[in-house]
Amino acid sequence: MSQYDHRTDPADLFLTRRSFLSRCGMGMAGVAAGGLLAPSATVAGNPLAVKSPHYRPRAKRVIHLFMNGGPSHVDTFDPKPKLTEYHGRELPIETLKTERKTGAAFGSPFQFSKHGENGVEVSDLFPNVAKHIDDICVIRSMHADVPNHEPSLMLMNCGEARLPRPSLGSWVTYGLGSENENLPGFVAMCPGYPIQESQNWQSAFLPGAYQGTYIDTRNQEIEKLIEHIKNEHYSTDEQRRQLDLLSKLNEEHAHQRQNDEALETRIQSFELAYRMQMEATDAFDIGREPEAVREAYGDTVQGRQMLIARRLIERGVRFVQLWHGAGQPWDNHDDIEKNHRRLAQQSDRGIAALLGDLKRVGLLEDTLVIWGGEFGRTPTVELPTPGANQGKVNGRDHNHHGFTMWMAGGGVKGGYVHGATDEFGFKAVERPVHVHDLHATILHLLGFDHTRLTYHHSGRDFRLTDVHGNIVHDIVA
Amino acid sequence: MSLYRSIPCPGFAAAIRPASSRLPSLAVRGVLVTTLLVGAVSPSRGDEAAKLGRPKPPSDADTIRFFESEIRPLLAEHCYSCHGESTQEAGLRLDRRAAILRGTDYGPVISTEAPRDSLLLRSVRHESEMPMPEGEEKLSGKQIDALERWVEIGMPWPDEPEPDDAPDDDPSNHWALQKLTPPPIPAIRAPIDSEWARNEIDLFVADRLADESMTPSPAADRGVLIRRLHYTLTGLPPTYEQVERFRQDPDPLAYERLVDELLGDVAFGERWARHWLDVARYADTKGYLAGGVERKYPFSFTYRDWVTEAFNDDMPYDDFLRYQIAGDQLVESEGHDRRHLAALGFLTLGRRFLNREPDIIDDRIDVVTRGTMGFTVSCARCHDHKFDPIPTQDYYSLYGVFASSTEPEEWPLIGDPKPSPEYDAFLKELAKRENAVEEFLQQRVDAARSADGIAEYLRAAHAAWDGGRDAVNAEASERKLHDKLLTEWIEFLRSARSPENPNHDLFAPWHRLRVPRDRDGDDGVAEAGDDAAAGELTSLRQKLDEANPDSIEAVATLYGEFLHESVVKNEPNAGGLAKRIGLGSGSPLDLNTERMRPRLFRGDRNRLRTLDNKIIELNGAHPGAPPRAMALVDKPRPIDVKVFIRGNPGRRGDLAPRRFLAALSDDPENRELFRTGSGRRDLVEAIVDPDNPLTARVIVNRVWMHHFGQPLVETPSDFGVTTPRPRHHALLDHLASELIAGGWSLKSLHRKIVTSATYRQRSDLRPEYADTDPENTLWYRANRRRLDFESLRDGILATSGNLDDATVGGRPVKITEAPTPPRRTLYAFIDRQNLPGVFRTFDFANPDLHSPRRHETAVPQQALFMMNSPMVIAQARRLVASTGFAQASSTADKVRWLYRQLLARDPTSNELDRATTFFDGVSENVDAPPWDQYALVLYASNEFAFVD
Repeated sequence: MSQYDHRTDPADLFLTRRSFLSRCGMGMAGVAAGGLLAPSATVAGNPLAVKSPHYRPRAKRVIHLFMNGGPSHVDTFDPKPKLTEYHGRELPIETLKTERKTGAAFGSPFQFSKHGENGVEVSDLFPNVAKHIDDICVIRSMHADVPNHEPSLMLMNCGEARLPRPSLGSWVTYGLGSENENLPGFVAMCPGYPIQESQNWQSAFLPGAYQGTYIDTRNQEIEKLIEHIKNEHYSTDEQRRQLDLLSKLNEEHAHQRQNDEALETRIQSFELAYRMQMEATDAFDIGREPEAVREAYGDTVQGRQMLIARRLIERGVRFVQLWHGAGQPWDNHDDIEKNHRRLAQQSDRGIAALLGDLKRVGLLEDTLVIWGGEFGRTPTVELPTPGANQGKVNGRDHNHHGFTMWMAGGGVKGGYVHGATDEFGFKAVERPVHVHDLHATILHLLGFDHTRLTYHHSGRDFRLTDVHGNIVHDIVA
Repeated sequence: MSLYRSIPCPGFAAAIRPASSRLPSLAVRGVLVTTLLVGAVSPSRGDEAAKLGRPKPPSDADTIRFFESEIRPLLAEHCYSCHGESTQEAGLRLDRRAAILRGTDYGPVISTEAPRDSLLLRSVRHESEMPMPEGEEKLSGKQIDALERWVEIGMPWPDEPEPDDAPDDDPSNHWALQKLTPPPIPAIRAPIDSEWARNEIDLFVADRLADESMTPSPAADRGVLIRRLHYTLTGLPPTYEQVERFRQDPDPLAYERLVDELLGDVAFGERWARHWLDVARYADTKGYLAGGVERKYPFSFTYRDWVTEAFNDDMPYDDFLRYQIAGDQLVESEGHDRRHLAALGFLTLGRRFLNREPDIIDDRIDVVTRGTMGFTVSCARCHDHKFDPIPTQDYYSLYGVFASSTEPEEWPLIGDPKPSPEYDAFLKELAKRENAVEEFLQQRVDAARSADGIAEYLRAAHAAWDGGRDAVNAEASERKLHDKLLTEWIEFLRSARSPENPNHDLFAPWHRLRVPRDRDGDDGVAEAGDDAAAGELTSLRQKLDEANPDSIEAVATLYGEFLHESVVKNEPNAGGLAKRIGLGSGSPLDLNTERMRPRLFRGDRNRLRTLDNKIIELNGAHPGAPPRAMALVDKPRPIDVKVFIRGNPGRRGDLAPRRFLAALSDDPENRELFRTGSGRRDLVEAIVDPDNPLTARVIVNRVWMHHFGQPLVETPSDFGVTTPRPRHHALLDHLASELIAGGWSLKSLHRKIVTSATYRQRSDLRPEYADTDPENTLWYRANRRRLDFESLRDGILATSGNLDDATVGGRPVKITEAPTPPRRTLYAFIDRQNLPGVFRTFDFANPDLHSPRRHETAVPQQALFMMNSPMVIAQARRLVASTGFAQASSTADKVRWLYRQLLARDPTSNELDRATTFFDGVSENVDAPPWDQYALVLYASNEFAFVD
């Protein structure tokens, strides 16, 4: 059989085994020979049934904290004393091309200090996150392809800058299913929409069940968070009575039809839905958390999202993506000091509380937390462009040549710094990590050979990393 | 067997392999062999490979041992991480002999003429621009020697099977590329009942069943059949009355009459249009665009409605494709009806990828090639197709076709607008919105030409004089001026410093006053004798003398007033200065609304866009707006493009003349070039050519799939060489040949399929075949099918009596709004960017990509929709509030009425009992029995959701 297909049990996805076979690009003969599939009545039709990856995973679930807009690495996790030294002067190195014109060196207005056992430097923007630095692996040598938001968001999320391709969360949910069938397997939260909107969590050619379920966290009422989760007219008892009648009628119907598997699957889906109503309501209702916990996360959209993320992860949701805000909040072309401080304040406590909670209950061990944007920002100051910025000359432009992301838990080395940008923070120069490499590494941590997690579509096997991606073994604990 | 034998890329295998007698069809063989030779002739890769097909070098145990001990480990250790199975930098892989011969995307790495000069060896010797291995130390002298020796002796390699991507067979043998010939029709034989077959389909099915000693299932009863027919042909359920009438119809041809009746129903076109819209990746929006830009396609619906009409009219399938790919040429050059322009939506309605042309074209190539021929040409965008005989050059031949086509500036009207009150209202509103745009621009014009405005530009020009782009931006932003206009002012003033410039005298004082000792200026005073504007200049000088301004601010004010008076206010007379620098002069004062538009600064551009969008919105949404076609036209000068190496428009390879795919051409080496304009007309003629082996097979397979729930060929949009011959190849070919012979009538195909005994079988499972053919690939029974999203929603609306099935076509409606519009789901507004969850939940076709077939999942969110959605509850309530329901008096009568309404049958006594029990459980403080809750259960039932 083809070495390319993902060998977990993708038969689960489809109502019939045959429609699955066509997707995997294997002929009937191939399957018979491989003896791969044992279609099971209980999982047929449920695309979220739990599946095993290629080898033993280090991480079983993912929380992706997306700092959309592009946080500045030289102001957060990548200290550059040399930049401060040159502040206001022209850089002695080439000013690389980014989206807009930038000028002189712009030393960070924030103070860095050493944290944790290894003395990893973090700026005073993230005092609370810094307390967890011993669990955090900082990758200072990230790089992407272009300095524009749209393609960079697509690259970071879907591994392809332009064409419709499944997102990381979709691939992971396709590969692993979800441990709680009463909740969506992949949840994307944002107050409003980020740039590129739902393309960021698209399933593209994968079945719709793998698309991120979008939760607009501007809402706080549960029934506005998940579609059709609550019946506005009937009580739970009434609904139970409906379902009892339904199941009797369906049973008789199926009985006359040799208890056809596809009929059984749909019967099950109603019981699942019934339980999902309670479970989802419970999962999203942070009012059930003690006051002290809510206080620790902070009563902000960020805090609420982090808390929901924790509750979802605890309940077995596979992939939670959490966006800082609508549009591109971290895109500070002006007033970076004021704005970065505000943005960091909005999220620092929540992130720290989330890491702390996960650690306390032992979930951090196999939950991968990812923090970062679609790129970083220039070490040089952005020059005025009418209409594009406010001309204040106190912000930074996009920078895809070098930036920082960090990961925690899920089998990464804590208190570890990987790679480096040049001495001013413009470009990744030591052990550079491309976005494709990051994807390959994330899949590796989840137990996948990224070259074998594939899906047959349009005449060929597609994968998240396309023809790229090298695993960064150095960051794996 | 030659050591140089195994070349994995099917193309090159064909290129070097001598014509073999086992190839079945001369014509097709010729096609493929030469196709690949065409590829081979290109200097990039193939000719080296071809040359290497020379007599065989020594290949004995010793050389193989040498390879295994010295060469393979070396390659594995130093090369495979970048040029191995998972990564192929520059397209090169070194883990297979044939791949090494193929070389990189840019050319060969092995030279047979001078092996020691091979690029591969020069690179490891660090004699080339790309010293290898990259990022590692240079190989040792011993290692390099070994590699040199190995190349010199002909690269011995053990005879090992090529993994995955090299199908053994010559692609010209591939079943789907064989020309279509009607296969002999088999005779019926045991164990199949000789009376069973109703038409040829059954004879083919019986033949395969007989091979396996299997028998077909008996015909389903009429109650089952009418529901099956209604849903597959029209997507709507039959009513109780229709079912009863049919069941009791004594006419032996009642079934055939019913088929004809349904094929004649407009609902047929609506149902099958939706199937085609999946192929056409139809949506009503462009996808992601930056903030504020209108994303809706104003006239996408005209394409959707055209498809419906075409199916209802039984337009021959070849014409159906002709209009969709080259309709503009048929209309413009051959006088076909203008309404067919709407068919071009097939090409234009894809995602717009932020207007990146290569991606838009890729989408069009994909929808055309996969959609009509099941040929995955877009795989060849970056490199020759991995499996199929499609060289990159062929992709760019089609690219040229679409790069030579463009969308017209204004969508053409389809026919003349009919006078109506709605149309009048539309015109009135249109005029209003157009005026708003005009007024907006006029205000900007007036401001820029007012005395104050002119003065402000002069001041800004002074301030930004030497500062370059950044200073202009800063000044414009500070003073709220249009930056482009300010730049023009500066250029204008700068050029006026030259004594030859006609405006020299006019601005000499300004320059002099601006810079007290302007070296470039002289003391030129405005008094040149024969200047037509001499009088005006004199008056300017007088004013300057009188005012004796002491600051540039004041000078600017004076100039502002002067220019406004003598130019702007004088324009109607158009003499003197007004003529020289006023309207029509090209100066910064030459401003009208049209010239203002491209000069607006960003903030105003956005404001204007909002106003423009209101016009677009009106054109698209106003019920009186005349429908237009989202057409495509040919560019005046069609172009051929060069291959984009690895898909990168910045790296160009060989020219790819516009012509058809080599693999599907009779004489690939001498393929005719496309001649008609962009070539779309030639392209579609090649697609619908009866000799094209794919087109008819592909559409037959699609139609079969929608009738039976399973296609004959498992991958309906990929008939490439990796797709195995279907078990019912002969049946497919029979139907495809017949389709062509019958003038491409799709309705005939439908009729043939649904009147077959095969279609009429019962859907009961057959435990005796559960092991031999669990998936029913031999069609020994019908497949039980779950309703898709459209049929489910339409069925719910139809049975609640709420479906508007009289209105056909028109603008899309938002079905997720409450109350849900009572239109068929076909008419739902499809926002491809943020598709509402319910579509996704119910496995709706992804509107971003051509969709060969839908996924079928059973996620709990589907059940949540049935249990909780306001839409379903509203229909249940509507039912029990209807007069029909009220007229049923007893509980049993009410239950019976609901069963008839929803399931088109009478309830069993058991089912009546269950209803009674259901209401018994209701608590006593409820006034009336919750009939709506009961009705909802019937909606949610499997019987409602499945078709036997």
